[in-house]
Amino acid sequence: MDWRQGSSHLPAQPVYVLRGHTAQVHAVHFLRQNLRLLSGDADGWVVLWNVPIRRPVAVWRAHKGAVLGLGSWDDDRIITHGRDNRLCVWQLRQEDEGNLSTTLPIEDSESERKEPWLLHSLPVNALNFCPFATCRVPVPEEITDPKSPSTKKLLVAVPGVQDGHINVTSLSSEERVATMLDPKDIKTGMVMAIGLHYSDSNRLHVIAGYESGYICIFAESTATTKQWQAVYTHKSHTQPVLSLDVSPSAGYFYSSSADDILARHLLKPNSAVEPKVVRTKHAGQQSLTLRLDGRIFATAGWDGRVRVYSAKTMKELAVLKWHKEGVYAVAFATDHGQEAADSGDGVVGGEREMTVAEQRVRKTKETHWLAAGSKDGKVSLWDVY
Amino acid sequence: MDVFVTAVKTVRQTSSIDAEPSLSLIQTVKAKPGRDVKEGKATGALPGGGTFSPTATVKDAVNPEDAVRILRSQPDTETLLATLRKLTSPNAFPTFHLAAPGTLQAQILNSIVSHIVPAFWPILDEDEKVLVVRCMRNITGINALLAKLHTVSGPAIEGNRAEFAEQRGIFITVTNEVLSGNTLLLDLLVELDGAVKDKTRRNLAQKELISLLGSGKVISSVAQVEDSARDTNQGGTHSASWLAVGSEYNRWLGRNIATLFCSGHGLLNEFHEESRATGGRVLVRALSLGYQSSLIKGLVSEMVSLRGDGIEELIGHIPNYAAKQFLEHSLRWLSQLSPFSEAAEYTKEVVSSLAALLKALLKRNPATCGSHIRVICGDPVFIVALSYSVRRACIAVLSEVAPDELQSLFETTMTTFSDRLFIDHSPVLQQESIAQILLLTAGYLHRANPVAVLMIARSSGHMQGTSNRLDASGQQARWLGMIVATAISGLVDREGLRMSFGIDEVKTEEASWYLRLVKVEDNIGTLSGLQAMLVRLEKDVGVPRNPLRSTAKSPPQLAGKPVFGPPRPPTPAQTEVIGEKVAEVLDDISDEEDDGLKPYAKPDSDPEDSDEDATLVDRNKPRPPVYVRDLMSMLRDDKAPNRFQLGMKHAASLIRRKANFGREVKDHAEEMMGLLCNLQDPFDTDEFEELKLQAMIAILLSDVEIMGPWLSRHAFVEGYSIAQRCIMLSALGLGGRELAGFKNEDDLNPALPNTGFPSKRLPARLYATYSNAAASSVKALDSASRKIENQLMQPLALQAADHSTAHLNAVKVRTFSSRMAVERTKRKPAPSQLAKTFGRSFFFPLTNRYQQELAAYGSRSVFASAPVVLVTFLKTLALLFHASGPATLGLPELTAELWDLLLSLRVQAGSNVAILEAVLFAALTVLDVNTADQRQSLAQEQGKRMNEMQQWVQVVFERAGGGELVSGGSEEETKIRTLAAGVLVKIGEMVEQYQKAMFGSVGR
Repeated sequence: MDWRQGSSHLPAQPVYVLRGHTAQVHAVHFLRQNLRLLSGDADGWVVLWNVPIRRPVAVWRAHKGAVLGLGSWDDDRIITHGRDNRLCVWQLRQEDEGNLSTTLPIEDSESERKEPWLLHSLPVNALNFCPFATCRVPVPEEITDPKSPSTKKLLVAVPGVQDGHINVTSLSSEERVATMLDPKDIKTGMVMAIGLHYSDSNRLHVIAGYESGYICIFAESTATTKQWQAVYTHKSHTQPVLSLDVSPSAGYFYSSSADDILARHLLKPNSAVEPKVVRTKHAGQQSLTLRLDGRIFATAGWDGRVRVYSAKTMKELAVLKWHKEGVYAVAFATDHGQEAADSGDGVVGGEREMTVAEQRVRKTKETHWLAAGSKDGKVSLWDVY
Repeated sequence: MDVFVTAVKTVRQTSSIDAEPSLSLIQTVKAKPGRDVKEGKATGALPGGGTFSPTATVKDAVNPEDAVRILRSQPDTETLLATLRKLTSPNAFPTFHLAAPGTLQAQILNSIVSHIVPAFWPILDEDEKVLVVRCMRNITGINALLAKLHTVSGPAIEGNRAEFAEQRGIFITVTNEVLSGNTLLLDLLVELDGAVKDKTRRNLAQKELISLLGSGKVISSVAQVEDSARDTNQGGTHSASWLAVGSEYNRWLGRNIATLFCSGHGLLNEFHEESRATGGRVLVRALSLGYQSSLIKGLVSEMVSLRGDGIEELIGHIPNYAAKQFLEHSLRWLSQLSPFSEAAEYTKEVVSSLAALLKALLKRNPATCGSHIRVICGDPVFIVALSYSVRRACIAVLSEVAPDELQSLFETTMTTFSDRLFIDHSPVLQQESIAQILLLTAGYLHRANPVAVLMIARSSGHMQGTSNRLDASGQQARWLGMIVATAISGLVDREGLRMSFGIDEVKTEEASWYLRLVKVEDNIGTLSGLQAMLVRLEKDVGVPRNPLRSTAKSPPQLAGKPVFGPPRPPTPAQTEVIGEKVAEVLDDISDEEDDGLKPYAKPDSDPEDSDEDATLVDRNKPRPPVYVRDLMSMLRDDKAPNRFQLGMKHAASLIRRKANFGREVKDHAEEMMGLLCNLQDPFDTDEFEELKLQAMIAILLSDVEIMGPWLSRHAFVEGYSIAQRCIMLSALGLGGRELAGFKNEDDLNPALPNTGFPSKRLPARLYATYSNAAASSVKALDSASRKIENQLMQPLALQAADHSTAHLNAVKVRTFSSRMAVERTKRKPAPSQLAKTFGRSFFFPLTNRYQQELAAYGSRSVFASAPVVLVTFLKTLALLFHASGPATLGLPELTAELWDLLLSLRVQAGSNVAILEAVLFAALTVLDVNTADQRQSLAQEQGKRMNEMQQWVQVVFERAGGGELVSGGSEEETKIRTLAAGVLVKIGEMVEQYQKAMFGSVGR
């Protein structure tokens, strides 16, 4: 690790480039301890990549329109949100992978592929470009059954039919939990980004970024009336908000927009404290994503560069340049493979040396991945911090 | 085909069988809605008063008169539809047919057009629209529609302006619908046949139909409406209807005629005879519409694809006087299909396909058509317009269908070929074409009837002709004579007795190609072969753009490579960043500390936004093209102005840089040139014309041998605008000059004593002006392109020419004695690069295509109708001639050809000052180039031409003095006068020189 001697690392280079999409990649998402990567493009194709060997394991056309967002619900359910006004939950367990096509859209973008088992299909509004947001419903400690985590409920928030409205739906009951109306006193425009967050007092907060550059936090006013009210409103951006992400551990959330502004807001609404605003001089920052440990976050830039910032100081730490065209999506590795690190140095249970495949899997789990999906249809993999 | 047959049959059945069953059926079904409406009305009307006039409540027409009344009395939708259904069903009114012309029908259709269509058309659904269209589909209906179109297009009275504007769109749509399809003509005739039993009346109706479709009535009406729609500019920009486009309409008409002839063949009844006669007459009428190629294309393509033998019947129904015209246009169209420089690999099958079509056309009437073909092939002026494949096909068919004509064709062409006048005065291209025909015919005839060829070969005519040829002054004429004599002798004489000239000129590649012509024997293919060829051509036309699009996408991947290279050391710019960071840490240190994350170095480039405002940031800064392929994709870009303009800016330099680097430019040269020729400026680029011209010159120079002829050919191809032609000619002219070493004389090759400048006698001052002509002309274009945005482009050569006239002063100033002195001491200039290739790559391609153009289009050619093109053409030739200089290869031949061209333009020059000036300028150049070192030879060899020229210029000179030539500017007149004087002086000198030399030798 001699590069640590210098004042800075050398410019980062991509570890690998996944070429499989013909259309712009709109969303990327890691799952299953980084062993799988999901990518979705503007034609509705979704590819599930095997990260250790960097090959596709499942390819299907999830939507008729562009994919807006991708997510996972535990290890075996995949959530996709498309512009065909549908939000789908697919069941894709490890054992299902063998049955699905691995022919990439770049090889054949015409023929139909077999789709995984569809668990839910919610009709949602997708007239704008706002992807969905999810949040686990926290279950009180005493009734948590660690053996069956899948019984937990998941909340999904999507924009409503009218501009500025947000609907929150509970899965798997498909029940409408709440509807937020846009604040009447300000002009919000369309909802552009949504974040969900449970405060310390177990109250759901819904964070929304709007076309006009406003950021709002909604909370239920009282338990009885069930009215949702904006408890925090701030116009930190001059252009439409493009993305926001929550860092519960630090008590902040971050937002980015089509201009060159990055903003950090307090999660606990406090009108006395102004949000910290940084001008990056690089307009068009999309898909702001925090790493799980909350130390760094990354933005996908329309200038073709992914930028990594320190969450604390909001200073630029790295500029990842490889794509020739604008980058639309970034994702960090979900988990840093703690258990993999515990398993000892290349020895399984002290009995035998690991096979090459096992070593590869372990290395993949440990790597601090960052995936970036670009307009050119390629997904680049990076290893940073 | 089958569809049409059944259509015919069903109609005939229903009309012949007694009408009762279907009648009752229709009534039971159709009566229902009508009754409902009536009841509804009746309940409303009864309380008011029981006895209303019956006409107001008639909802179900029992006779046509009722229908008129209903249609005029603002019916509701149900009633209307019921009425229309009745009108269209063949049996609703026993003695009444919409198809038959008559007053009642006219009333009905007029009321449909004027009342029903404007009101109902927008709200009717598809089925119901079809019903209306079916009512209108007859002669009376179409006439009514056209009349209505005429009304709506007229100047609107204030009140109904908006109404008219709306109706225009509707009526264009309705007319489109009514006339659409390939079976209209057939349908109309079938219905007419069913409706009108009286033959005289039917004939009248058919005549009306012929004048309706065969004249330009439809096109002009629709176009007029579209025009006025555009003028008032209501309802946005309408896309032009095909009916208003002459070529589209003619293609449609052609297809309709084809359908007519291909339907129900084998049924030799009266109806078919009659309808075909009508079809033939429509065809003849349409031939005069001016879009013969489109008409014949539609006709033949459709006939071939329908695979009927209607094509054979066609010629029988065309009157004799029009048959030749039809054949001529067909051959012309076929020539367009098989271009002149088609690759040899296809020729054989192309010829057999073409022959198949010709044979089918001639089959029914071999005698007359054969003689037509003979006349066409024997006409040296017309034959030039036909491609080599078509000529071969003609002869092949002639030998098959009308062998007798072959002999007389052989005789005619032999006479023409041997004629002294023809040898001396017709363009080389005509002579070549006739020689080809002659040899082809000889070959066929010899196989069929060796004696006939022998007779002619032994005749005095042939002998005299050969000696005429050998006697000719033109090298090409002589050469052709030798080739033809050798070839014919090779046919008729025994081994050992054959004629052989034994010189190198008759052993070239070209010569052996000519000699092989007598062995050519084409078989006659099938029509399906022709169809395959047509399909292939359609595809070829469509294909070129697409694969390029896809390849254009790939470069980013290639260009992405460097990123994987070794990491670059941190750039100096980084210190700046660190400084900024320090400041920021200081700023932040109060509440936050760094979390120990070490930043990565910046990548090699990380530019900040160009603009504070996020909406104005330009993220796709294009980079200059590195590969020719990139360049082409940039030039094709009509979305991003930056990319396009950058490509334009770098085009010329990139091409020049790459010209001798691998095959990159050579492989794409034609494609690039085509692209540039067609290029329009979508973004208002600075100096667009100039940059385009420079790029074209660069490509031209990268491969003169191929691109010279290519560009010359394209300057004459159909479909280019005048400006585009001018720029092509300019590129040729300037490119040629550069090749001769006239460009960048100061920068790159400053002291070249022998740059091939024709006469080395100019004072330094004028020489400087002269040699900068190219550069200044470039500047001229530059200013011209800005000045004339929506007008015709000022040809660039014009300016150069103006400068060149300056050397007249020199001509006038110099005295004879000094001239002779200069002459003796002068070395012969070394031939420039242009001099070697001028004839082959520039001059003959240009003049040959010019002759072809004139032969094919006559006065309709843009070269005859737009003086500016002709002037540019002449000046280009003159400039090139001048640049090429006295060392040009085959100068006497070029001189003769150009001189003939100039003499042939005397009439046109008389009517237009610009042309006159160009002709005089060219003549002066010719004289100048020729007198550079061998001055009396011109007087010796071209004495007659020189004499002619002298006489004519004399007249011009005298007239120019009187001020009657130009009404406006005396400046122009002075210029003309100066030029004419220059020519006269030159000729005078030359003659004098000649005489001196002659007397001198006598005296000695």
